Amino acid sequence: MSIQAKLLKFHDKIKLGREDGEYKSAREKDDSILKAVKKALKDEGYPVIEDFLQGSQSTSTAVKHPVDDFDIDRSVVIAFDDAPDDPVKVKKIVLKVLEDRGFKNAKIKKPCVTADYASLSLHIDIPLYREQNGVYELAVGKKNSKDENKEWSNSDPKGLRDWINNKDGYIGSAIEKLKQYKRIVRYLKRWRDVNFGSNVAKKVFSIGLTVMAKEKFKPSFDNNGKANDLVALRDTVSAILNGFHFRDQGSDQYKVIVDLPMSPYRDIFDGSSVNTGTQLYNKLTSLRNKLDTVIAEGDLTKQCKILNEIFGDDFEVPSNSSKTSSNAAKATYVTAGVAGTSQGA
Amino acid sequence: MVDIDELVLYLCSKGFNCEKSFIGDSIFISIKLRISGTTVELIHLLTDEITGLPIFILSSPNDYGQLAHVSIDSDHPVEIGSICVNDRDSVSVNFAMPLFAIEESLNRHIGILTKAITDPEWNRQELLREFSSNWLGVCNFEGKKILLTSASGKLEEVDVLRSLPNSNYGVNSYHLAQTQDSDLSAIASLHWNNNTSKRSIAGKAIIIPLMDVDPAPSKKEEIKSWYLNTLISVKPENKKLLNEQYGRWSSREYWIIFNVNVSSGKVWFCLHFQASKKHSLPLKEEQMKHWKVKAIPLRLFNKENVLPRGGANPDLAYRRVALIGAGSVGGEISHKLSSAGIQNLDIFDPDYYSIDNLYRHILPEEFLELPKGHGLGWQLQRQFLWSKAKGSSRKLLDLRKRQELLSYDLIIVAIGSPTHERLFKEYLLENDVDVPVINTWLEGFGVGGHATLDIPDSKGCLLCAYVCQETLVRGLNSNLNFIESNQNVTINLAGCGEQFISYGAICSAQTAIMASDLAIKYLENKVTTSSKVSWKGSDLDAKGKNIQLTHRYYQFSESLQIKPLHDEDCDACS
Repeated sequence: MSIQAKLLKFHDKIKLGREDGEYKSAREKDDSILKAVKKALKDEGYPVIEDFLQGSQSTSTAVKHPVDDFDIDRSVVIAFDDAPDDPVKVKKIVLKVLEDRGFKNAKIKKPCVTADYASLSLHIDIPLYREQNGVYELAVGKKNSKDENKEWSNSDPKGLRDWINNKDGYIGSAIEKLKQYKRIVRYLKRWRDVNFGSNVAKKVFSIGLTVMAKEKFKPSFDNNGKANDLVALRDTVSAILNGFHFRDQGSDQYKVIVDLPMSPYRDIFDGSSVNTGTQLYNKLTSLRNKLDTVIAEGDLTKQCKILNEIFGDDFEVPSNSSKTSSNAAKATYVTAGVAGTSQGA
Repeated sequence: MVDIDELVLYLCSKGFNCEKSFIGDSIFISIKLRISGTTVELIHLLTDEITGLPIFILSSPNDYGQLAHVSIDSDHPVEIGSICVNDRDSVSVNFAMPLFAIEESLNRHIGILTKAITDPEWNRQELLREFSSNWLGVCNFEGKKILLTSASGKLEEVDVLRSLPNSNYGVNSYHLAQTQDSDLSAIASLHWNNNTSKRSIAGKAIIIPLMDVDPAPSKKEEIKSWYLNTLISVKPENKKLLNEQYGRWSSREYWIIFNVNVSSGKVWFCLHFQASKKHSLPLKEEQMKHWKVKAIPLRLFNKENVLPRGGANPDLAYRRVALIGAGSVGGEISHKLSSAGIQNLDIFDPDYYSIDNLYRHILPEEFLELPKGHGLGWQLQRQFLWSKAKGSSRKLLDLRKRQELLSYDLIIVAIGSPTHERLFKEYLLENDVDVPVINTWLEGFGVGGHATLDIPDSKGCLLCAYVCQETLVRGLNSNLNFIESNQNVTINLAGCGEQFISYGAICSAQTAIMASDLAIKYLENKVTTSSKVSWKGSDLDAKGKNIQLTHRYYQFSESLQIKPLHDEDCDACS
């Protein structure tokens, strides 16, 4: 078995996808909340014209957190003409729905309304938008913000999702390259969750890692088309470090800067501390060096041991007894029942 | 045309004894040389254009004895010698600088003449080595040529069957001497009409092996004495048989066909004896008076001669190959394997040859509505005269019979059906059928084709070529493919059941040649491990149809190079 096979196994373990039980349960809860939110907004004269998943669930880059909750970002859109001038007004309606349904820690944050499930490891974020002719504006403002801090802010949530999902720049097996990129994002997220203290980890925003990785992604496939995630991750991390995302503050201190590639084009890490930037820079450097070691190492078990240190125990280290002997027992197929073929004779 | 005075001046300036001469209105230059104390004259006739190595003729060639690479032309008023420097087409001549070309050619002529005159042993060996071409120099080309199918060359008497009346071309225009050891294909025999009901007997041919031979005679009038002298080199036991058995049959015509090993291989040559009345075979001088003797060209038609001449390998004759799939790729493969010397070829395909197949299949239209395998079997036996190719209408999955499969040295699957091919592979694995298998297929739009060689007990198997490169488990499409899966690559002109993948005969042929090369290399022991090979074509048509291609396509730069098949993530063979 190759190191790539080990990485894929690890990826399967950490990814949070539609087929995962946790996610399915969360989606059911989400549907229920969404129904209540829609009714409440409609009753108040703000009928919901659209809703969509935002965040990692919409881009297939979500990971299971080894300890903490996982998020659902459910965007809700009302019509521009129906929307009140005060964006916080509609956010309060949503907040009340969450409070009435017994959520913990329900509150209005600047970009969204947020709450935790009382009985599930699930965190929900509900950004609100108004829309006119395909242009979206995000309801920005906290519960008690002054008027000058409240606004309908130009935003492009679908554009960001499409940008992340875009594969036009990849030549040959573009889908596989996009998938490799998304695996790289998941590896980076799990690496963050394992290697940073919880307070800093929260500030190394997932969207920041996602955008950096997208901009600097270096696909790696051998000439036969077999993915090499290890090299792709090393090369991508190296490119991130060598790019313009870290601004030198002197004395080996850094600030991290990652601009949103779509409207409103703001810095994702705006207001982020030098400590966060410095830790991120140093740990990414350490990650790159360790990946170099893994790449240079010829022994599979030793490679896995280092990757286990990088990614935690979900990255399994093979034991000698784990080798299976029967070919029949090992034979597994891709999950597709049928695939279109180009073969003829 | 080069100016003759300029040429004379030039050659003189290079030290040659050269002058302008005339014979009637013809003007030429004469170059006189001294070789081993003898004066030798070379003659050069100017030509309007230099299209090959300039020619120099040896004057009075009989003055020097029999020289290798010199053939005497007696048809002119004076005898002249043509000097064979080398194949005139095998050199690239500087026609823009004719003086240089003429000088270089002159030096080459002098070099070979000098060697022949000054080194008698080399001269004799060269005369023997060039025996066949020298023999042609005394041959009489009138009358019917004779085809001989002998393989061994052992002493044998055979009937000579006449050519068919009014046959001016093809094998039926030859007299035919067919020996006992001939194993022509059944179809070839039909076309050759190699039996006395179709051809009348012209006389007897005696095949005589020789222990040794002198150089071929240089003049036709020397043939009789040369023949009698040659009989000395017949083995005593064969001479006894000739005297007591073969020579007793009286006839007006005899063909004596000699064979002997010389340094360039076994040579065959034929003498035709004709008498006004019937006589026994002349073996002594006193018997020769009854006979007119002439050397005639002989065309040997046996495997040992014809196959290597065409680049085929006679050693492959005994290998058994099953070819499953007689489509455009399979058809070409069957042709290439047969041309390489494979005789025992079983071709399986349930399809019938249809009009739709005509433009990308090797079979001609007279095979329409015939099962493709049978049509190919017939056609191959017709062209490759020792082929034993035969067709069957069974399909790949019908061949899941262990004992039958084990009878083959190689199985080639050219059906373009990954499902059936993988099912067949599973059968081989489960039933321990350790026969090597080549799977080959091409892809649409001219992007390329592929072949895998799965040798049991060697690293790598067909399923290595099916390891999904994304998930690293068994996939449904080959990872060798250049076209991404799950795209509509078929063209539909007439509704359901009429879809086809767009590719032309060139793509089929390229794929087949590549797969055949892999097969032959395996059978000749030149490839001993499981391998894969692909050829990559243009993406122009695919792009035109918005077909997405794989990473492998864009990275691939090893067309036709045979590479290891093994994939470390293949569960079946890792």
